[in-house]
Amino acid sequence: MRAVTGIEAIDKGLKGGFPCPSGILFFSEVIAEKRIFAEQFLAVGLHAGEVCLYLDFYRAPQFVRNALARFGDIPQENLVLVDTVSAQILLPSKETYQVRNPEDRGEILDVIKSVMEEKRPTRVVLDSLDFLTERFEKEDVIEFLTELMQLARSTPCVIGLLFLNWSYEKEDLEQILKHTDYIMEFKTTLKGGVLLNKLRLSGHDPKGGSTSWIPFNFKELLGLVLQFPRVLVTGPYHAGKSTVVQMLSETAVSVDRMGTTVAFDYGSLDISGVSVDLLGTPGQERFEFIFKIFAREVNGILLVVDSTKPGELERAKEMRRLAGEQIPMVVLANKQDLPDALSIGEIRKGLGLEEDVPVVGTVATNGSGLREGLERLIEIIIWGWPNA
Amino acid sequence: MKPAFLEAFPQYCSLLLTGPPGVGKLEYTLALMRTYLEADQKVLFVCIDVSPREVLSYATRGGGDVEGHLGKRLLFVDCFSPSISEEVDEREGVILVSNFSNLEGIGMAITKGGQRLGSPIRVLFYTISTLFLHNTPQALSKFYQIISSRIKTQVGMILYASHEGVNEARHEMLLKSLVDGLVEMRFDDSMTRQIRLHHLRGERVLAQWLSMEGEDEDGGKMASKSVWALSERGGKG
Repeated sequence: MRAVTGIEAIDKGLKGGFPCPSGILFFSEVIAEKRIFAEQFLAVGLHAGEVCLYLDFYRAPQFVRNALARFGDIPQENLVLVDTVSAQILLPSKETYQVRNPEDRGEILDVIKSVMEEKRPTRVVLDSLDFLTERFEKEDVIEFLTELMQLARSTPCVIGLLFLNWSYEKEDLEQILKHTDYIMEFKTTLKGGVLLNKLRLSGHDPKGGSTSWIPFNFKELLGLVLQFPRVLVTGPYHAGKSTVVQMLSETAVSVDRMGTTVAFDYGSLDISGVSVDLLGTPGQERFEFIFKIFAREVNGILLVVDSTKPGELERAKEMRRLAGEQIPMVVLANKQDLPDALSIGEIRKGLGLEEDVPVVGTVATNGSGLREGLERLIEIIIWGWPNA
Repeated sequence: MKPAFLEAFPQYCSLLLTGPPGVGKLEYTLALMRTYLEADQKVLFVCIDVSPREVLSYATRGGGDVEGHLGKRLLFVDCFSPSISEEVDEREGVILVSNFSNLEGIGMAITKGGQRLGSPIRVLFYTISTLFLHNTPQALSKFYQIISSRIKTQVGMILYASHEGVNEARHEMLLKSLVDGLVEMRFDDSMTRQIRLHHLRGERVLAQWLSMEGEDEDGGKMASKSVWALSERGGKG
């Protein structure tokens, strides 16, 4: 059984979501937007008809309900809230499950245990672990974590713990971090007055790797959307770049003159839970300066080649070199519908590509293969090259 | 025309306002709020010890339509109301954060408020002392450091009010050491309230005690004028 996150591109990389049972630490070193990810994780489960538990040390149950309502109508009967706040502000609780003394680790565990036995939740969020790390000795926190993970395994459920590291030094922190199967790390920065949220996941890769830092944002009604501001669509002259941008995009603009792009194409779309901006560059060599400007800070490249023009593969190779060969890339072998088109294998050979660079056959004029190409690129941007 | 003393505090900086309970820190903070709003500046008021309702009612006594700015150039981060009751009205212009221990929540609310108003903003934080009662000094120092640097580089000015003699001396010293400037308030022997600008990074200050009591003006305006007079620019002007 798997617990999906609701963000398609992440679920795909996790082969259908987080395995059940498992533990995820929603972690940050400084103040960051991570609560919204945990809330969405729970809301997705509730929408799928799963029983979900939210234990919040900071917010009264009503605030949690309001926060979850941002993700649409939640089936309330499947939502279990443990109230720890009423006791903190000396008010009677209206919830079935409550912690009377939040300073008592044993009671917290007992309440969680009874919810698990009686309600069998498949998703649990604890908000947050730093409430405990700021009140108890490290050894006690570790014991708590160990018992909690055992509970998760026997239920079984996926448990997510929010954690901001306020006071642990490196060694103590590492002891905490190794208790969950996954670590989803968060960063929020304010740049030019705009909030920028990023996350990255580790633990999915047995070799110890992690995803790249992925920007994300919250969109009303859509929930969390990953954002890749720059995907470069490039390739030699007349390979079909503008058509690729226009056919993929929900909205597109082109700055062209007499049928060829002289400045750039721009388009945007949402695909696999990822919001993508496409930037198409002109193919002529005299516009190389524009290419160089766009190639800065790109997340990935769609390299469009005309499958009927073997003579231009050298130019395509050169363009890849200009952008940097380490940048995630997918080759679109375009115009596959034309009779003299080279095969995928021939194009791979002609470009001298490594095994792990995907080449996707496309017909830009009817859109065929384009979404597949972009989806594969997104996979590489998030999860890295397949054999790396 | 903008009153000159508005410039006593740069648009991007961090400040601590200390003084014993009852000396008039809230009054001074409210006077700053009014002055900034009247000068078309933006204010984010972080309520730890008072409710937005109280702040508005006190501020209105000084005249002017403070409440009219709410949701436009004035926002509140309200940690006070949800920490004493479960039933809190969600209201336009007020960002709620439940629980004094929820430092990350307070931090995110300030950041989001900053984004919503658009910099530069005057952030008035009343008070930091109370958070010491609910958080470990390590967590609170990290919070204080992150927020101060985030605000003064990206958002604007932050002024934290702190009750003198409530926290441990080393914590008070820590608070003083992590900001650009320090405004002190005290009672003199005859219980007259006084104020001084102790230091402000990048500025030469006179650091003299001045009386906060004014005959024809309310204390707060008098106070900010006093602080202005104590900075080098004010001294010259």
